[in-house]
Amino acid sequence: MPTTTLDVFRYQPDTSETAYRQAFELEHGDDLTLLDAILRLQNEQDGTLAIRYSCRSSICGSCACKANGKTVLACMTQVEDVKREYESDTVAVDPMGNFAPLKDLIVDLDPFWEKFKSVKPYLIPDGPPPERERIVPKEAMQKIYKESRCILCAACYSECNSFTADPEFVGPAAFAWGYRFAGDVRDSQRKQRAKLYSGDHGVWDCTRCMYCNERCPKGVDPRDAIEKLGGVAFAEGVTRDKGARHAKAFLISMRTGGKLNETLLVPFTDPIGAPLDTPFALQMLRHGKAPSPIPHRIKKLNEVKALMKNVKETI
Amino acid sequence: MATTVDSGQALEDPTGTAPDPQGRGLRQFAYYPGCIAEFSSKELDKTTKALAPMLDIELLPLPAATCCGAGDIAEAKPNLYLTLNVRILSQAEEMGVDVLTICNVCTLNLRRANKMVRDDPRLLEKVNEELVKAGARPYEGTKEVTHLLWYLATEEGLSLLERHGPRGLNGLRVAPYYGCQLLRPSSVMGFEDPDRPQSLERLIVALGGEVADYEAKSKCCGFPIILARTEVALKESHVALSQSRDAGADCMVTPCPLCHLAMDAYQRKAEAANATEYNMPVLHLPQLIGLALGLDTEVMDFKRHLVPVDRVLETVGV
Amino acid sequence: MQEKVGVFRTGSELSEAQATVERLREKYKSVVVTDKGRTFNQSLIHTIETGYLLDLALTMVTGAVERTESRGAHSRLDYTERDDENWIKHTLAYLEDDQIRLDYSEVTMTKYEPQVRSY
Repeated sequence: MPTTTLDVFRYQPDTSETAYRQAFELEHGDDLTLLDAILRLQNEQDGTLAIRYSCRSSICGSCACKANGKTVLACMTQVEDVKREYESDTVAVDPMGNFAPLKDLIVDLDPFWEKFKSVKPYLIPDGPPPERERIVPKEAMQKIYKESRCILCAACYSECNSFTADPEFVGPAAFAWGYRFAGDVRDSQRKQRAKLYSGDHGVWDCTRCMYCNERCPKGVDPRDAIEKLGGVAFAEGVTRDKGARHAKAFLISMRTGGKLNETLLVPFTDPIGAPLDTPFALQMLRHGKAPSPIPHRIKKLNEVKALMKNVKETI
Repeated sequence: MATTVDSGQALEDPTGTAPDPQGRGLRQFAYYPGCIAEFSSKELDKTTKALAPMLDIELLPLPAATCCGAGDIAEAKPNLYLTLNVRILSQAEEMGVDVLTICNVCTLNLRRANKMVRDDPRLLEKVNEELVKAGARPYEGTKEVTHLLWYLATEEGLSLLERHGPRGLNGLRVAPYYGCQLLRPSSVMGFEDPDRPQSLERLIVALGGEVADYEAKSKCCGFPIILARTEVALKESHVALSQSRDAGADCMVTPCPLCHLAMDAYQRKAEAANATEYNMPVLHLPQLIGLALGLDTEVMDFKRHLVPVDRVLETVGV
Repeated sequence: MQEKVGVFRTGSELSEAQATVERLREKYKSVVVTDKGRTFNQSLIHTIETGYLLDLALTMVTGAVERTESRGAHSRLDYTERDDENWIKHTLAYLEDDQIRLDYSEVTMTKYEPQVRSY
């Protein structure tokens, strides 16, 4: 029977304001999930140990936490697998990142729920309900299939680099739901959603660190959803944000030369702010970072121009 | 959580062919430097080209290749992103070679496009229809995309470096900085464990340097939003910069010119925004290799960096 | 409960289980909640739930001991046949003064009459 040391983050606000770590030893069979382990510790060794849980089968989204620093669902994580991967009999267990701990592995998810609500995560169809059901072709629902898998576990926020730097960032799961509805053919608010999601702390704040795609236990790929919402914004003509202008500069560059035109990029992204940053511009110039005044032009640019004209977006 | 524990996992280059340590003949690649390496970070392109023959690599140009679009074209026009990147892959395929990149973002974009069309033949058909209509060559899905770091971090690559290194790094303390898009999402990248990468560490050691380890080596530098959300980006780069400094690093090394811009060109801004000092020289990966292999420092064009690299050159003994 | 009050049950095991549950309910009267805090006290919830589970267990086993026949998921290995003459009735259980009092009520039969289950 294997033995594991669980090195657990403890925070017991009823007894102390200071967090600490506690090592527990557990003897167990080969099949033991991290959630099983924590519940056994709670039952047999320390009744004050707290973790959110419910279904024990990776569908309720309650038990997200960190195993050796990596955000996982505890009920989906085999302790022996973690030990084998890290070649150690000790597993460090921590609460999710980016949220304030409330007690041991339980964190304050109120900000998460606020962000979720803020994207209007429900269908807003046009007009009153029809006589019969709204018939939707299979392909139309396939388009939003990945995003519809979200179980609101918040694992994607745990290591989101934008969220760490900006606590007001609306965030990956919220935008996954955003696309789930913006991309739903029955929804009538695409343009309004594009405007809602494009503001401060919105889709253009995503730093593209890809932690959300990497961590999501359900294969939602929230970063892809954020990317698609950018596509929706462009399709709906909602492109005033600096982030959208940044992307527009790329498109203009493609059409005119094929490579990124850096001379264009900075002033086009921020026509108001950029000209004011003269000291920085001069500094860049002094270090030779002034792009060539004659923009580069690739061979066979006509192919690119044709593609830009012909390829239709199906977002 | 990044650690230095080398789990000894065998790193395999996705092209399936690692360098030949015996040095029998040149390995040809379609060279895809990306846009930044050819403009703002021109020193990266120059160094790579000078280094290539020393690494038995022949870099074939792609004169008709566009920008990969970074995350931006994908965000604005997803179908166009796919078509443009498959077009690049098709050009390499026409030359009969795999693609070699020197930028995290280019690597992710090209590999992702490659994966999308290889996983879905109907999608490839649709993309090819558009390519043919525009007068371009359709793609058969036979080529791979690899980054110079991956190519050299295999067993064979490290042997090649060890064999070629006349000067070595003389114990230079280097903080490895991976950034994001060369590691994640691992379903697309997959060269190494995204949470415990070792390729840079192995290279640093093989070149005679010391690893200055720290936790934030695969946290985001913020470059994708450096113009649109500068404040947020400068909070991001602070993490890796400050941790490298606290780990006693002489310099950082990165395989991505965008990360390099964020951490070198924007370093003074980050210092101002975070009320601190880093004074941290940042090297491109080929520059680190070039220093170890005795490449002429004029070629490596360090004066283009905003943060001076004097203490690096002193330690290495140039 | 799983061992002695499962689908397949015998009178003697049911009586043993009944004694065990009654003993546990006595013990429960002096149960200690290990977490004394007021924040997210899961130990308190588990303790309260255990009390209710014990009440339910007593209800289940008392009703099962009395029903000397087999019917559906109540499959008595010592009374293997269904006894429609004596046992077509609903068992009602009341918790009074910490004991279970059983009572029975008539079954309303309309369209479907009880039949032998055969395939």
